Amino acid sequence: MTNRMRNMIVSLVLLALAVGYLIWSYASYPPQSREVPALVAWLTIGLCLIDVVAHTGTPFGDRVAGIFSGRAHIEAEDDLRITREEWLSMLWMAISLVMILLAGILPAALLYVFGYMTIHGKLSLRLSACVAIGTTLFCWVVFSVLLNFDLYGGLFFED
Amino acid sequence: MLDSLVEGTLLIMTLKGVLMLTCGVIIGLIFGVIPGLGGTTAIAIFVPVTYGMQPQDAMALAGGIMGAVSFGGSITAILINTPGTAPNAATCFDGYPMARQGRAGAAIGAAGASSSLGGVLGILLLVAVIPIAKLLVLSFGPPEFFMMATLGLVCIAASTGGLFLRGLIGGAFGLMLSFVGFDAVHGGERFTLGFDALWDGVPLVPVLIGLFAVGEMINLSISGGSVMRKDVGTKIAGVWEGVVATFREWPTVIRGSAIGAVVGAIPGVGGTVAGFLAYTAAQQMSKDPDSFGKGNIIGVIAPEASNNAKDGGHLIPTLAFGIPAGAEMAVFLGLMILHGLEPGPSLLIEHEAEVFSLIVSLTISCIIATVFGLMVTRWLALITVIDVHILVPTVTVLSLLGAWVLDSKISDVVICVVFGILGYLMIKFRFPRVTIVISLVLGDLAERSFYQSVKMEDTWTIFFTRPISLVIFMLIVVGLLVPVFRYLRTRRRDAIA
Repeated sequence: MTNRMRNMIVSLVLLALAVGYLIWSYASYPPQSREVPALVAWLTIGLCLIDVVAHTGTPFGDRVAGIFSGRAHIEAEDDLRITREEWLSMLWMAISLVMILLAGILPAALLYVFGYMTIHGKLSLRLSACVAIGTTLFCWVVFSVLLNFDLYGGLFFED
Repeated sequence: MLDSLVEGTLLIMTLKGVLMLTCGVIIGLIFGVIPGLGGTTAIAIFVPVTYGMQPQDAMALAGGIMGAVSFGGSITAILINTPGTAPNAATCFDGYPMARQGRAGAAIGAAGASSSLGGVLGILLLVAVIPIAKLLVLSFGPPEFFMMATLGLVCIAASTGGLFLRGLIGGAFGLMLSFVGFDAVHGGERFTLGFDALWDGVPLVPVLIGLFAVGEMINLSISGGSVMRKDVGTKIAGVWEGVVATFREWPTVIRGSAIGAVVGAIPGVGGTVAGFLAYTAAQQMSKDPDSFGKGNIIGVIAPEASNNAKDGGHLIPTLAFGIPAGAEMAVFLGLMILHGLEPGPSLLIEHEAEVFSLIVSLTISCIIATVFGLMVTRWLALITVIDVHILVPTVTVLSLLGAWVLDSKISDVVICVVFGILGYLMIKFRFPRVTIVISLVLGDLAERSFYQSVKMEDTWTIFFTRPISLVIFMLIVVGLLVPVFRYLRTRRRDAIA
C-alpha cells in the first residue's frame, strides 16, 4: 500500500466521521440546537472532500494539493506505515491507563515506570527501580502530602 | 495615578511581599515546566493558601505565578517539544528545531529575554489603557467576537505552513468536539453518547496534555535515544547569544508584545491565539519565511514576547469589567473576590493601590523569573540528554497526574490517553494538533456569539454591516488566501528559474 493510499484512507475516514456527525445532528437535535454543529459538519465535509481530491494523484488533485499547501511541488512524505515499534509505544500508553484504572495512580506509576524501563527500554533493573521509586515518591510528596490531593485509588483499592 | 503606583510599589516592597513574589515565581516556573499544569492549575491550587493573607501579598503570589509560568512553559517547549502551557505551543515550531541543532541555550535565552520584555511592555500598555479600557472592550459585540474567533482559527491554520488544509480540517473537528456537552444556549445535552463525564464538554486541559505531552512521549518512545541528536553534543551554551538576539530583534519584540496585549484584552481569545498570531506576523514580515519552523530564533522571540504581554491585556477586562479574559483570569477573579476585591469599575477607584501592587508584582516577576530561569537553564537543559526510556515513563506519569488533579476525574485521564494516541497519529499523518485545541477553546465563544449576533437583527448580514466585524472578516479572507498567494509565488519563481 502506498503513502497516497494511506493518506486517502485517512481522508475517507475523516469524511465518514463528518458525515456521521451531520446525520447525528439532524437525527437527534432540534433545528436551533443543531444549527451551528450542522453548519460546521457541512464545512468539514467540504474540506474533507477537497483533501480526498488532493490525494487522488491526478494532475488536478496535485494542483489542489499545491494550492492548499502553498507549494508548487508536493514534498515526498516519510513512510506512513505504522510499524511494530509504533504499535508497541501506543500499547504502553494504553497499559498505563489500564494500570491506573485498576491499581490507582501511585501503584500504577511505580509499576508502569519500572515495567516500561525494563521491558521496553531494556534498562538495568537497579536504574529502573530507582527511577520508578523516585517518580512515585515525587508524585506522592507533591500531590498527596503537600497539595493534599486525594489521588485515585483504582478499582481494586477504591472504597 | 502616580500616587497609586508609588503606594502599590510600597505595598509590595515589604519582606513578606517580596517573599510571596519569589515563592510565586518559583511555583510559576515549576508549574510552567511540567506539561499540562500551567498557571490556571497553579493559581487554583494556591487560592486556599492565600486565605488570611493581606490582599497585596496574595496579589504578589498570584502575580509571581502569572509572570513566571510562561517562561517555565517555554523551557519544555524548546527542550522536548512539549509546551508546558498552551500559549507556549507556537514556541515549539522553532524552539525545538533549535534544540535539535544544539542551540537550546540560545533559544532559552531568547525566550527568557523576550518573555521579560514582553511582560513589561504588556504591563505598560495595561497602565496606559486602563483609562480607556471601557471603550476598548465595549466596542466588541457578538458579531465581532464571532469574527475574531474565526480569524484566530484561520490564522493558526495559515501558520502551519504547508498543512493549511489539514489544519482547517483539524480545526473543524475541534469545533465539533467543542459542541459536546450541555448546550448553554438552548438547554439539553448534545453529542455526549450518554457519558455523564461529557456533560461539561470535552475538558480542555486533559486534551491539551494528551495531544501535546502524551503524543510527544509516544513519538519520543519510538525515536529512542535522547531528545537531542547525539551528533550535536550535550553542551548547552549560547544563552547570552539568545538574550542579545532578542534586543537586536526589538521590532519583533514590540510587535509581538503589542499583539499579545491587544489580543489578550479580548475575552476568550487567549495567549495561545496571541502566540500564533505573533508567530504568523513575524513569519509573514520576515525576508526569509521558509526558515521558520527550522530553527529561526525570531520564531521563538515573537510568541514568547506575546505570551507574557497577554497578561497585561488579560487584566484589562478582568479588572475593569470583571470579565475574565481566560481560564487563568477566571481563577484569579476567585482569588480577588476571596480577598474582598470586587472586580469592576469600582475596583479601580476604591482599590487602585492594590491594583497597582498587582501590576508592580507582575512586572518584577517577569524579570525575576527570567533571571532565575536562566540561572537554572543549564540544569533544566540536561533533560534533553536523558535517555528517552527514562524520560518517557516519568513525563507520562506526571502528565496523567496533571490530567487528574484539575477536576479529580478518572475520565479526564482516559480522555488524556485517547487524545495522546490521537496526537501521535496526527504527528504521523501530518495534521497540526494545535488547530483542534484552538477550536476547542473558541468553539463555545463562536457558537454563543453566532446565536447572539443572528438574534440581534435576525439576519446573517449583521456580520458584514458593522465596521469592526467587516474589517475582521476581510482579514479572514486575506488569511484564507495566504496559501493561494504562496502557491502562485512559488509557481512564478519556478517558471522564472
